[in-house]
Amino acid sequence: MEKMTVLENNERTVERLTDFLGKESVLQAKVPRERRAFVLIPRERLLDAVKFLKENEGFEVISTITGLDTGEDLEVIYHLRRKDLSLSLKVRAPYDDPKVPSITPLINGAVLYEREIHDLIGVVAEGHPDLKRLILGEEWPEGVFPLMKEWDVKTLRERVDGEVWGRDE
Amino acid sequence: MSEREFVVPIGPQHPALKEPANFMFKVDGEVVVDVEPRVGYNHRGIEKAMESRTYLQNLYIVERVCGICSNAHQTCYTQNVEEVLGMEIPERAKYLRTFMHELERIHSHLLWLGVAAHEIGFDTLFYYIWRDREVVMDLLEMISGNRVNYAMPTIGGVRRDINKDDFPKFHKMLDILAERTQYYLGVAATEKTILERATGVGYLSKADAIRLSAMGPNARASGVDSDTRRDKPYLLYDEIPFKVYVEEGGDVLANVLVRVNETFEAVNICKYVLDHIPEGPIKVKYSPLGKVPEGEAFSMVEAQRGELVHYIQSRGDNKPYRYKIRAPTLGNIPSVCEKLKGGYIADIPIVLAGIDPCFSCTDRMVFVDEDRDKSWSWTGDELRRYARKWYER
Repeated sequence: MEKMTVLENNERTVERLTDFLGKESVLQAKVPRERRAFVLIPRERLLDAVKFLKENEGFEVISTITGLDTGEDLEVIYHLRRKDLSLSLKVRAPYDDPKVPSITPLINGAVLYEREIHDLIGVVAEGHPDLKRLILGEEWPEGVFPLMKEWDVKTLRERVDGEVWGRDE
Repeated sequence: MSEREFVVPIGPQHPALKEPANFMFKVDGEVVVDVEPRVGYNHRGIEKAMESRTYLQNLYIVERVCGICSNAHQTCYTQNVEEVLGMEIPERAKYLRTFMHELERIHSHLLWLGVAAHEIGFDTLFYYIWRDREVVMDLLEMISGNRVNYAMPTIGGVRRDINKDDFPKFHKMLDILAERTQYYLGVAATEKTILERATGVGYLSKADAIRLSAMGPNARASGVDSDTRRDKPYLLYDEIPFKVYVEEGGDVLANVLVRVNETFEAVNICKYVLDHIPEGPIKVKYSPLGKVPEGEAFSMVEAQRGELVHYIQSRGDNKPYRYKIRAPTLGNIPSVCEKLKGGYIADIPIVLAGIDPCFSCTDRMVFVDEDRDKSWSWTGDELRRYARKWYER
C-alpha cells in the first residue's frame, strides 16, 4: 500500500515536470520503479527544469553527474535527489558543440561534478565559476577525453604513456 | 591578496591514511581564509576499464575501488546489475548482504574514531578503539576469510554461507562491540580532551550542508535528516527497525556522536539479522557468459561515508556500455572546504579527517609567503605536533 503511494507520488512529480516544460520538451520520461525516474529533455530547457525541480519539487541536492558517449552524441545525466526520489535528468549535446549550461549557480553541490565531466568527456558547463582540471594531471594532453568511445585502454596508453610520458610497455 | 595572507599547499603526498589529495589553503595568520581542493592523484580509470570487461570480472574490479568500503561497492554493483537483469535474489542472501554491510560499517566507523582520536593527540583512546576494532575484524575474517575485501556479494546472491553453530560466538562478539561502543559514547560526551578539540571546530550549518550536497554522517552531523537506507530502502532496510541519528551541532563533536551512535545501531542490525535469518539457498544461478539485456539503472547504498551511487547502462552485451561510480568522499569535498574556512591551521587535520575522507593530506605541507618569496615545509607529523602545541598554550 505504502509502496504504491511512493510510486504514484514519483509519477506525479514527473507529470508535473512534463506539464511545466510542455509535452514537446520532454523527449523521454520513465519511472521504472519507485524512487527512480529518468527524463530526457533538450539542453535549452535544462536550467528551467532544474530551477522548477529545486523550487517546486524539493530537489535541492545532486548525487552526481554522469557523462556518456552514446555513439551519436554526448549525454549528460544529472542525478538529482530528494527524500523519496532520485531523478535522473538527461540532456544531449552534439560532438561539434559539446556545451551545456552550468547548473552550479542553482545547485552549488554540482561544482566538482561539472569539472569532472569536463575532464573526462569534454563537456563544457557554460557559466561554471571555475572550470579547470580536477582529475587529470597537468601533463595530460589537451583534447584527449578518456571516456569517449574513440579511445580504448590500448590507444590511450599509446597516446599518453608513449607520447606524453615517454614510457615503453 | 592582502599582505598578511599566505597560500599554503597541503598534499598530495599522504601520511597515515590512503589516497592522496591536495588542498591549497589561503591563510591570514592562523586563520584559513579560502580552500582550493585538487583530487585525482589516485584516479585509476576504473570506469573505463569496466567497459572492456565482463560483468563478472567487473565484480572484482569494483571491490577494489576502495579498501574500506569494498563491500558497499560490491553491494551497490550487484544490485545494479541484478536490476537490469530482472533478477530476484534469495531472502537468505539479502540477510547475509545486510549483515556484511553493517559489519563493514562497524569496522569503518571504529577505524575513523581511532583516527580522529589520533588527530587530536589522544593516542590512548586511539589504541583502545583499534584494539576493540579487532573484534569486528576477527568476525569478518571468520565469515569471509579476509580482513578487507571480503568478496561476499556476487551477481545472484552471496558467495559464502554462515553456519548456525557459530551464531552464539557471533552474538558474543557483537555484545563486546555494543558494550565498548556504549563506553565510547560516554567518553565522547564527557572527556575533556575531545570536548576541547572537537566542540565548535569545523562547523557546517544545515543550510550549507544542503546547498553543497553533503551526504552521510557528514550531513547528519549538521542536522540533515537523510539516510539512503531509510529513504530509498534496499536489501532489508524496509523491514529492519533501525534509527537514523541526526545531530544539530555541525562540528567535529557532532560527527563523532553520529558515528558512535551509528556503530551502536549497526550492531543492533547485525543482531536482528542473526535472529531472523531464514534457511534457504544463498544464490541463484548466473552465467558469466550470459548477455545482460538492454537497460539502465541507478543504484544507491548508504556506505559508511555517505551515499554511494552507481549508474549502469547496458546495450545488450556481456560488458557494460557505461558504468559510473561516485564515492561519497567526492561529494563531501565542497562541504569540507566550507568547514575549513574560518578555522585555524591547527584544526586542519581533524576537520579534514572529520568527513572520514578516502585520503589524507597532511604528510607534507609547504608554506609560501608570496610577498617575501620565502617558503618552508612541514611533514604531517610536524603539523600534528604543531597542532598539539598550539592547543597546549
